[in-house]
Amino acid sequence: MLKYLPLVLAALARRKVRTVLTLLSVTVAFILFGLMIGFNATLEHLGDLAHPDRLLVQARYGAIQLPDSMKEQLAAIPGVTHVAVRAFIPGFYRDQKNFAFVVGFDQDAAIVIPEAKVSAAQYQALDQDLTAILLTRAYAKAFGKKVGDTFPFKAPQIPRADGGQTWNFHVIGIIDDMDSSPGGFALTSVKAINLGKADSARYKGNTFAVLISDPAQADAMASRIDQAFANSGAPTHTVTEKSIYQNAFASAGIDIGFVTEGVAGAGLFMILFLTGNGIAQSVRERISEFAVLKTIGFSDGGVMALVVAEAAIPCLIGAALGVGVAAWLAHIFPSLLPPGIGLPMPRITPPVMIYALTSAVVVAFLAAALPALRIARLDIATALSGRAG
Amino acid sequence: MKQAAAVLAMSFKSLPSRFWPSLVVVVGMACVVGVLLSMMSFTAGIVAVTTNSGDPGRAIVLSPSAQGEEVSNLPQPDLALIADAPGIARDGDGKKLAEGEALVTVPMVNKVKHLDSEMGLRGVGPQSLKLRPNFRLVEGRLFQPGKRELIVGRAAQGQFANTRLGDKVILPDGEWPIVGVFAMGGDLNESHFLADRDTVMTANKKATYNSVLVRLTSPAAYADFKAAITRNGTLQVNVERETDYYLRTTAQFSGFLNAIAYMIGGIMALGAIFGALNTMYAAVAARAREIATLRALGFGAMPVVLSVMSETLILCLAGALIGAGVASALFDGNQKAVSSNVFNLTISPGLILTGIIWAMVVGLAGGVLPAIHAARLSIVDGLRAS
Repeated sequence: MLKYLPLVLAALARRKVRTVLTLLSVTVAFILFGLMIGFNATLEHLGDLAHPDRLLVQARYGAIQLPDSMKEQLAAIPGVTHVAVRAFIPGFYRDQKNFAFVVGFDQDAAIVIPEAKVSAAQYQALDQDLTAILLTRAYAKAFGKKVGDTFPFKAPQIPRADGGQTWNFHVIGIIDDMDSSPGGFALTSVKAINLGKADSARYKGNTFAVLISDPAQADAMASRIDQAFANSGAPTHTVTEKSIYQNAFASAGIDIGFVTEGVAGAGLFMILFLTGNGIAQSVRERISEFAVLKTIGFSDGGVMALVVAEAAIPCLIGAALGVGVAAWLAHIFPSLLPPGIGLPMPRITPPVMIYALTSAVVVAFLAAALPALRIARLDIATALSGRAG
Repeated sequence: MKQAAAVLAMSFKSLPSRFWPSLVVVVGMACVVGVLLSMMSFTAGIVAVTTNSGDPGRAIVLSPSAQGEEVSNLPQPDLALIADAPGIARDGDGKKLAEGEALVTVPMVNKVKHLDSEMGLRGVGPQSLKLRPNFRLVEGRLFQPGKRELIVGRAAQGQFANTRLGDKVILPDGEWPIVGVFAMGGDLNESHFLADRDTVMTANKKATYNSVLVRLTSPAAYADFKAAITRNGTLQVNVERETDYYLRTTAQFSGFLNAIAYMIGGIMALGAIFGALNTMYAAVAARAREIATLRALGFGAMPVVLSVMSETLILCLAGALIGAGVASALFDGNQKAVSSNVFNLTISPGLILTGIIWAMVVGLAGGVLPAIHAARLSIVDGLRAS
């Protein structure tokens, strides 16, 4: 097979401008394809990070807070093994552009949220010093912080007990980032956040992370918890972690799979026409040459393969280049964003690459189908006489 | 000019013979504009609903530094202090058109997405509906003050289950029946429930208002009103014209979505430019003899350039219109919900114009090099071309 490669390359080299332009548009289409399908891969990856044995208990009515005292009641529900309280304050560091958030964990997070790389000693230190804070590497880098620095954090949305807006923390450690939160976060104790807030908002936004003994019962456990608190002063809305990840985009109103696949598909449709037209032109210009090839003994299948190969080479090279550029863009893009914004970036995983190359082959086959059939059906005598234009 | 028209006419008469290559430009452009407009219809829909929501003759008062109504807390006595400020219109009975309102959330199921979601519930006071002249009851009756009754926005009914007249909604203090359906000029309130404010606040154990809404005597009265509120030392609040408030609170989200749409559209447009270049070079090559003949007859280079350029632009325009048509047919008017806010995807004439402008840019970028190439073709070589 490979010995015919020079023949195909010569055909491509004949119209260099056309070949280069085709290659460029295929590359562009696959940059888009890589970014879009790579983003799907990211979402799948995030879904895999979800712990099947973990539930999130949040306030059913935004206005009605869940008090910390609920922790014991949750822990007493059969099937629940551990409960951790989580608090959260959104705000910014220094300038409104530097969006950031501070989360508060209690010490049980060591068991319930093990993926947070926080040592028992660090949890203890946070509990003992209510101005202490840990930054993840991403935050430390974004805000230029090291251990011992101060971290004044402004949270205008959260009424503070002292009437101000600024939370004066000091950095006691740098921890690893979590896969589920690539943009980073700052971590303090729940106590620090609760006590810092004004009475009216003490437990506002606080949630419980609950570990259960049997992941298969996750949905049933979620409804059991909600039933337990349905007629209490603080009704709950419990969701499985799996469903949070699965529904993140849907609840924001965006059918993300439809968008990414639609865009990638539109790109491929565009280059299908372009490649198809290019190959048809090339074949039309070389009718007599194909007739000669058939005369000297090339089979119908053989000439068809030559046509398909002529379409496939720019498609495959373009796909490889495009996916490569997409990977590079995904790599550099986070550094172009303002600090603190941890957007999930497309991941160009091996399945994404295989999907791209397969799609390139399909496009090449579809684009070459009609011209290849035409060549296969070519009547040699008519073609050689120059009447087959 | 006459020459240009003649060359142009010729190039269009020969278009059918270059049907398939020309289709590459049309399809490419249709894909670019179709994708661009589909994505931008999201933002356009959000902008439309927020534009309907804001009234330059109204001002909204929130607690200091609250970014949005949901996170704002105003002590109830603030209402009287705010209503004392100048520039506020009065109703027929001489009462000031200023009202404190509560905004809470209610867990609901989004029936389109089959997902747990939430809806906003706005607790409104006696003046609230007079502040909103667009309010219109379309079914049932109004809630009664002091009673646990809801009326639901027309738009919400398209997205949320259990929102028909007579359905019951579970709130913290029990079931509230839906007694009416309302419209409000296509604004964001149509995504919400409305009910009696004090009853809503009791049910949600809320002691503070979220906002105070004020009808100004005229849009120009805003400055006086704001100055008086700001001067008042006992008031710790933030005043904003309602139109500015809605623009500000949606700008970030819609700006982000538009940035993504432009990025994706831009990448696709680049691909389309390469496609157009390819096609137009081929078109020039196919017409080499014809162009050379014209030049030999004394036609200038400019008419040739113009003819290639306008052919590219017209193909791009056709593609843009097809793309816009497909996007409109698929998405225009589709209802969407971003968490609790319901809006319709919108492909407005302005958006279609954006698509056409993109097509012109792609056409210029993809046509100019082939056009220059056509004008520079050697006449002798051209005449020999097959």
